[in-house]
Amino acid sequence: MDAKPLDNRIEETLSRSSLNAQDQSLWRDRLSVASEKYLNLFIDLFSKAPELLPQATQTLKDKVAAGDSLEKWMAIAKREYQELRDVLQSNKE
Amino acid sequence: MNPFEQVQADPEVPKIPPDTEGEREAGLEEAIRTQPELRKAYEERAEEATDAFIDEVVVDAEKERGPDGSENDWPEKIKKFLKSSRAARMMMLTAALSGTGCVATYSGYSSFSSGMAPQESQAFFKTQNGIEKLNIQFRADKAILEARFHGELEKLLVERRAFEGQKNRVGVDRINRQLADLDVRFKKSKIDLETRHKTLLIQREAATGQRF
Repeated sequence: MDAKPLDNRIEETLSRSSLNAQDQSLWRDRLSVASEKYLNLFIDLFSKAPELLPQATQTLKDKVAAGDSLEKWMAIAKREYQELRDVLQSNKE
Repeated sequence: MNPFEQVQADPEVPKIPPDTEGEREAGLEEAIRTQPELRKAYEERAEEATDAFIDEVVVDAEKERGPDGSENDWPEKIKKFLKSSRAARMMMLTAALSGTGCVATYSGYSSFSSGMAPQESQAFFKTQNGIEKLNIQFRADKAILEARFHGELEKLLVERRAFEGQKNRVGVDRINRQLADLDVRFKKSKIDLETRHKTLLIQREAATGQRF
């Protein structure tokens, strides 16, 4: 396995968040094999807003758990579709 | 004899074991997580699929808004805005770090949401998902093969330059033969890889009864 040590900023972000040890491990596990782009995206999204991590963690868990279930993936996609529509809506207002 | 059996009957074609769905799924998930080249190829596909999904949201929103001559660049502007939104970036991150299911779902969202019968959707999803995974594997294998080829090529070219500098004709000839051999091996490996990929696609086609 080609796991690499995580950037200090990721560790700091995780330790400052309210996530439990198991959820922090989930991110460490996934990020340790992700490409640089996604490490940077994680830092960009959460280093200044660790309070967003619980919501993102739930989404990540849902996606991992969905596996190959069409039903579960459709539920996730529908929710995300609505979230994006809400972003558009709030931009128009 | 179905197309898969026809291909497999050819003695030149490498034999592919039957598709044991569960084992292949689990194996590929693990491979994607642990093999950097495969991981990168998967992330790229997840990214393309997420992008396509976001485009679809924009297209739907545009349809609802109706044609507006004075704001023709609205979709492009809104697409840019939406893609840089926190919601979209979070979606992209979690998709790229999750399993392999998102690629087929995001890519085929409109088909699923446009009223396909549940059984058709399920079959489409399974087929699409399988194809996506085979394509990801193929792209990753090809990238690895090309990287190895370029590595060997570069090494031989450096050696040849050194022999040329020494005016060592025997050395240059030897490297030229190695270069020719490398070229043959690379082309053969590429053909083998493409054949294997096509065979797997045909196998899936035979198993699902769907053409792609």
